[in-house]
Amino acid sequence: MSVEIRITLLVGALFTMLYFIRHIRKNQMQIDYAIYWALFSGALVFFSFFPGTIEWVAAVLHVKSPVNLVYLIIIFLLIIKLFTTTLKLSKLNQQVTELVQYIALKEQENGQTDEK
Amino acid sequence: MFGLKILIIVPAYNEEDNVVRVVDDIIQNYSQYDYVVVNDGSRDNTAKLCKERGFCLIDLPVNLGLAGAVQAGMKYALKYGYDAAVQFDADGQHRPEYIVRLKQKLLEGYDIVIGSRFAEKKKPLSLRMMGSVLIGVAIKLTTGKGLRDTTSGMRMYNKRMIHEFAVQINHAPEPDTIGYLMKRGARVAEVQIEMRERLAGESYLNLTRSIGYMLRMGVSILAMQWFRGGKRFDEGGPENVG
Repeated sequence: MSVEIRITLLVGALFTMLYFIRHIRKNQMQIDYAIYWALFSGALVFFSFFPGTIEWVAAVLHVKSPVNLVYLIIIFLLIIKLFTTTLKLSKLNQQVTELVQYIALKEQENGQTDEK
Repeated sequence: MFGLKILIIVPAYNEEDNVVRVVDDIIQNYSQYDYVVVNDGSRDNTAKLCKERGFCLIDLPVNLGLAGAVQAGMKYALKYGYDAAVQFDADGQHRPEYIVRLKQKLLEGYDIVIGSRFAEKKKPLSLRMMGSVLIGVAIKLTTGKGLRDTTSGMRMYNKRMIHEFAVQINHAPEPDTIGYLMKRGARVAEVQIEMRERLAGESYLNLTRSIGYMLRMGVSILAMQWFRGGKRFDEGGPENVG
């Protein structure tokens, strides 16, 4: 990898990590979710400090340019994260529906007993 | 009873086989304590049985998981001004006769007292206990203090901790939270207790789930400590919570 891309990766990774830390410290994220982002930004910082690891894996997999492997890994991780987020989102959606219906049915029940 | 108002929080998820026996035991033999059953959106007859028997029940309409269920109990404890809350399994593993020991220890000025299977006894070297040992090592590394029984689910919390658990996110009643609170200066003690085998039904933790749980706990204790903020408890008096 060229020096320029390495420096960009390093600076980008460090700032991303700081940004994540700031939000996690303010208790804005649940630990289960924060773990993913902590590991993700940690991995970015690791690879920008030790690009040799990426170059070695790229050589093993016959990827011509190691930086392509970096992109591939990041895109893959993001796709996985997007998918699990969608799963979580549909579960949340369903829970909200159930909650709204539960509250509405309770209200209806209360309204009926009040009228008696 | 030293005027200490104690609430037993019994989170129950699909525990129709056990919950009645466990709660009846508390009502009949330990009426000095109040209790609340938190039905965590069970799909079986847990809620129906509790209602039939007239148990004090918080009936969650959707399943929130253990953390959400215990938090609902903590909110109840906060609302009615309890001095201490005990987390108590609905599956019959925990024995109410040990609550008095937890209470005595809490009165010595601790924030959290863990009902520990290995406070005085030696930990058996089984695969099941491996996880407990590893979590103990992780907590020792981050807080400098050792815990003998990290995975025990029977814990008593004082008023300050009830407030923390009731209002904060990321306070699942799990070892990583205990470690985090210790790091912030919470005083944690252990007292020796015995546990029973669960009365009926299957444990939630199988091998895959146990490994997943261990990984999550390990990362949460070792890596997330540095990310997490929060004021220390031992600076600036008791109003300094959260």
